[in-house]
Amino acid sequence: MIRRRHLPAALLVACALPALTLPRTALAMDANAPAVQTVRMWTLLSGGDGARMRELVERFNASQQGVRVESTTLKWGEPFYTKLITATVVGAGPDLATIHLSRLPNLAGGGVLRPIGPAELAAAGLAGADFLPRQWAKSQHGGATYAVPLDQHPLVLYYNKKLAGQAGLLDGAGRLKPIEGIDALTEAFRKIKASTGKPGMTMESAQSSYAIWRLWLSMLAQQGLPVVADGRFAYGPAGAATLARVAGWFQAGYATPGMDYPASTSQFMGGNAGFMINGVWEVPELVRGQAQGTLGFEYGIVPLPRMYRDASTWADSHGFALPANNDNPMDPAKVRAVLAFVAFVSKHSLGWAEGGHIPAYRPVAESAAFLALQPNAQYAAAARNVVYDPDGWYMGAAGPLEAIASKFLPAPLSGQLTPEDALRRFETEAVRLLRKRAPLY
Amino acid sequence: MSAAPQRRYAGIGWTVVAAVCALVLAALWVAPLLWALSTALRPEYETISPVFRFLPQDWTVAAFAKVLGAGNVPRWLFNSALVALLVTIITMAVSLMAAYAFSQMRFRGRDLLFMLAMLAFLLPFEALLVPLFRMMNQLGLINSYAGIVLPQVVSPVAIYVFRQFFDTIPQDFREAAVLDGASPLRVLWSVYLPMSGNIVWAMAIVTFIGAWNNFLWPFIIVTSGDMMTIPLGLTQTYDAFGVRYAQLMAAALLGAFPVALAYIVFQRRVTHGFLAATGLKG
Amino acid sequence: MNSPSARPRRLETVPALLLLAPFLAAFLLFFLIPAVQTLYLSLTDSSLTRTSAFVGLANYVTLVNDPSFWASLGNTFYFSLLTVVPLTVLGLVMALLVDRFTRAGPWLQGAFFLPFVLPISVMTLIADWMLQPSAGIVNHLLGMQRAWFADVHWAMPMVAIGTIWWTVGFNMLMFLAGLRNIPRELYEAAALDGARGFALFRYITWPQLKPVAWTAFVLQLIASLKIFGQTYIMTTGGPFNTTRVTLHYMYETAFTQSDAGYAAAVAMAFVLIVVALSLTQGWVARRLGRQA
Repeated sequence: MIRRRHLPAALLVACALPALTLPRTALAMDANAPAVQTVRMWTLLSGGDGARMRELVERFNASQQGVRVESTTLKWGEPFYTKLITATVVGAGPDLATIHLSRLPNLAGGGVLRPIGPAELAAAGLAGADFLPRQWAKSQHGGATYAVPLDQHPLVLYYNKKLAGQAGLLDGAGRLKPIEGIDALTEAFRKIKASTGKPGMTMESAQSSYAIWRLWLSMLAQQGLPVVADGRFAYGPAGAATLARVAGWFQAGYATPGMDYPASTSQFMGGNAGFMINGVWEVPELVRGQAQGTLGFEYGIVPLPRMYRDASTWADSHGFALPANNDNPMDPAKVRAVLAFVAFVSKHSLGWAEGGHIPAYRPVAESAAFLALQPNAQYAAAARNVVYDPDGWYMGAAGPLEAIASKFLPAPLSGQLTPEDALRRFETEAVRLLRKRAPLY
Repeated sequence: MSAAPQRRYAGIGWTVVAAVCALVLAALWVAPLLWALSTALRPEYETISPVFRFLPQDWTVAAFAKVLGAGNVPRWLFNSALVALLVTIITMAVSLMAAYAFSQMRFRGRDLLFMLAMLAFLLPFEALLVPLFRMMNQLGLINSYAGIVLPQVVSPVAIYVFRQFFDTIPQDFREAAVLDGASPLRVLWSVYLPMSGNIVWAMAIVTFIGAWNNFLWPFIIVTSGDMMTIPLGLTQTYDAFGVRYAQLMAAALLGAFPVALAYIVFQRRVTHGFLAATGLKG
Repeated sequence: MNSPSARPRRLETVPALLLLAPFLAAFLLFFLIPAVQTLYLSLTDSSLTRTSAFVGLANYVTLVNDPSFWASLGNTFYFSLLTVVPLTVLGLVMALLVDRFTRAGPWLQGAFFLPFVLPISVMTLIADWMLQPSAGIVNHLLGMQRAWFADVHWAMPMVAIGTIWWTVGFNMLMFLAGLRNIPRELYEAAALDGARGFALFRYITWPQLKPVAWTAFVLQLIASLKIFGQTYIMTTGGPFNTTRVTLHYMYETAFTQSDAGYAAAVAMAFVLIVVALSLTQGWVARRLGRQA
């Protein structure tokens, strides 16, 4: 029974309520508040990347006294960007955020990001020319710079040297013989299946998987076709034909259909597939497995082969961006602090490269240390052929168009829909996005 | 002689059929939780081993230990407990006061207001997500305990149930208290509340369980891992645990444990509460 | 029971409003205002964070012509179909069994009702594990390797089965209460007349239970229309939108595509359907009540 003596407790709770509305960070007040600039950063990097970024944050904090970076990791995907956008709009966003450069048109165009002036960059020791041109261009919107690029992470072709050797695909030095043309690639998969009995290749193809979007985009780009042009789908019949080629690998048994990301990746890691089409972010796992001796086979990596006219390869990039926080414009001291951190990370991005990425900061990317870094050196050439998601407010990592693509494009791979049907449904649902104006946030 | 009224379907044939049905259904219903427990009590390699076993070969509580030590599940349990407790206390207070006003006090527009309040029951909360989200955003309550708790305190069901109950209390009690000069709040507190023990307990537990299990609203408003409640956090576990099924099942069971315990301990009150909400006599 | 000497009381508006104040404040802030805002939003072209141009009924016109919306409605009704009838029938059977066996009754009741008090994620996690393609117990028992949630024909039924396991306890409870409210005299009178077994059920029990059955049926129907969590978590609306229910479509439109105006229109249309169903239920229940 509720007794009178419960009343004080209830009142206490009622009084405590306002305290609970305090943003959590406000409670963690730094003892040296006036002297130290605190930079709040939001990042969607998790796993190995998350650990590497945390380490960079700690090194930066330890290396000087004036700035302290506090990093919060939010879940990768649509929720991260939704939270970033909604928080920024009411002025409650962080001071710094790691974003995908493919989302830049959407975020910058929507008013979520704050432009970074050349003078501000110079004060931190950075300049546009310090970064690889493709990535620097990707950080611009409407003539202003909205992000500082950190890396690029393309799709690559991993291969199992043991299985590839059995299929006669290696040259005298134990490296993969160059594969030219889509038929040659198909043939390579077939050979592995025929001579080892194991799947020739593995790629995630469960529903809501993204690998097929990235591969398809690469293959279209290699045929000189964009996905979207002039607000319309521009791939024509080649879209379905290309999708059919990939589906063919699964139907012929060269790849196991319906595997989700963890299942497909562990299939390769377990030595049960000849090739893996995946992003460079699996490199650390392979490196570690090899170092610990748990891998069980030697692996190699090459850029995505030239299947059609060239070797265009999908990639995305991470970058650092400053949220606009309209109600609370950032004061110059904080901007300096933020960019000081960004400059630090850029200069130390060799450690970042150990995550498999190709750094965007040229002094590192063109340094001897990086050029010698293995296995990155095996696929560094991919950087020349990188294609990004097309520009458009709906594009980019975890964007609405990719989400729709991830629903329909994997279906032909497991035979649930024909490629034509899948594309037709994709277009029907996605066309609304193409027709909409870019949202202002 | 009076035939035992329970034996509505006499005959040994029916009894056997009924018994078999009962056993089969009960087994089916308990099986998933038992299987989850069996999975949670084995080492990871056994969960994906090609040899299938119903019972673990190497019993171990490693999965539970891992989940409890992982840092997040205990935090989620704490968040759930705090949120559910706050929602329950505030909802009970708000609803009792409102129900008393609707039941015992006369004022213009009382019945209209009551109907309007019940209307909230008809409209699905889901339809209000976007404006609620924006409002919380403007108020700076995104990802805060207050943000999670406050929209949940509107409970037409609780008001309805309490009002029904207050209506059945004889007026003499109220009039005596009023004659003694008691204010309405005092009458509620010292007369009606003590008599409402059972129903208040029942609704409190039902509210607690509902708040604990609420998925949609916390899902919308929570943006960081350490503010998640259990239902939310558990669905994020694939990121945290990958394909480690023993740990996933351990996490699920840990998330279920508090409410399961509440049900087992308070079974009669829970039943009473849920039934009262439907308007049926239990 | 009012005391016969009660005299008409004065209006107690101010004290009443004071007591009502917390509820009214919450009601206003968290229900009424958002409800009105949803209505208004549906008449505008808005992003998730910013309300923009007033466009009148344009969103509703788009809605009527949107195949995705109608598909989502179809999926929602399909889910309802798969769950409401089994839930009602099973709930009744379970109630009859619990009532029948006095000693085992509480245990049976506990077993059937326990899932209902569990959070949704417990159900989805266990279902995911049991239906896992290579290591799941269901596939092991059936000798298959099927990826249930990726299969167009099986995804929704599996979500339905999980939901049935999760929520049938509530129906059982309602029927149990209904059963226990049937006056004994009816049975004793019928027994004196020689009726036994199934006849008792058909002529006494079922007619008395009809209103409860109808209430349970409709409550489940309305609840099933409002699902979001199960399909969002278990199938993410897939495979390729075949399990995307209306509320999920609304969520995607609002948060993934940042189209809050259109999402509000979806929400309003959805509310209309739910309200229409509830009103129909009330009308049918009254008619049933008059027949009894």
